[in-house]
Amino acid sequence: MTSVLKKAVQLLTGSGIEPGSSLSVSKKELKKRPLKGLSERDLIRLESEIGSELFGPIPAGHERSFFNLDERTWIWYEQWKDKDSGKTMSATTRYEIQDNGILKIQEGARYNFLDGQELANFMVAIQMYYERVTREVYKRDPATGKKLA
Amino acid sequence: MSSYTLQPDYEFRRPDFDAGEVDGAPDIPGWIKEAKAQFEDLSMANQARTEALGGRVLSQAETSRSYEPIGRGVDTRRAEITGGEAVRRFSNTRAFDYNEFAAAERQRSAEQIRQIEEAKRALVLGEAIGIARKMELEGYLFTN
Repeated sequence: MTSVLKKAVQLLTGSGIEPGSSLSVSKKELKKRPLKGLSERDLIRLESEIGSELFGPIPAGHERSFFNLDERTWIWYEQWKDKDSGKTMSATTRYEIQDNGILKIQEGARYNFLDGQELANFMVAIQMYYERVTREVYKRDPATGKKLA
Repeated sequence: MSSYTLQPDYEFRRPDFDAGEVDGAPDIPGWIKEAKAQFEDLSMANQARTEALGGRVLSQAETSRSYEPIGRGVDTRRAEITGGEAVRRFSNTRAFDYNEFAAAERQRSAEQIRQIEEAKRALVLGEAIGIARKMELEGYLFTN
């Protein structure tokens, strides 16, 4: 993972890449990119389809999104119709990665650091998210970062 | 999935840690509040005992009894004799138990360390996803 991060940082900052190195883009390779042309929002939408499946069955009439917004932010969004009023209801939970823990932020100024079983569940969920998104959306090996054949 | 939104139409308000808005925030640990509350209870208990004894200042020996765990050494007999709100409070006071307090503190420290470690892991995963996304967007193929 460290190797992947290091190379990616080099790619993003443009530092440490020599001409002719193994990190290069050929026309042939670019044709292998089925996601070419998608925006970042589109990619997040694809990731979220996987994310929504991580927490078990979605109740009838509900729509759920769970996705990584940026390196320090995860979002859970759920929307449903109220049975009595027919009004569309929604709830958003934001998980913010801080240095001293993971802060869960909900509407109504409710916030708390994840702990106990909830923290364990969250960690399993984002690990699964990473494994599946890396494989299924970006077609890369989660352990090495290499493109899958 | 048209329902999802990256920017809800309301704003999340960040808690004011310095003002102690969040229990368990790093600068105002919950256990300090608990300990403080326990000491306040003890203070009330001692005041109640003083009142029960007709205003006489308690001796060190008498005072120290209230530091023993509940069920041992808490003098409910005087409370029964005098009655009154403050004295009833005394009879219900849970005495401070250092061993219990220290054990709770150790458990809390372990949980805090776990939370910090898990936050580090979560950050690494978030970074890795962001990089994979960025590489896809910018067309880099990691071939090494």
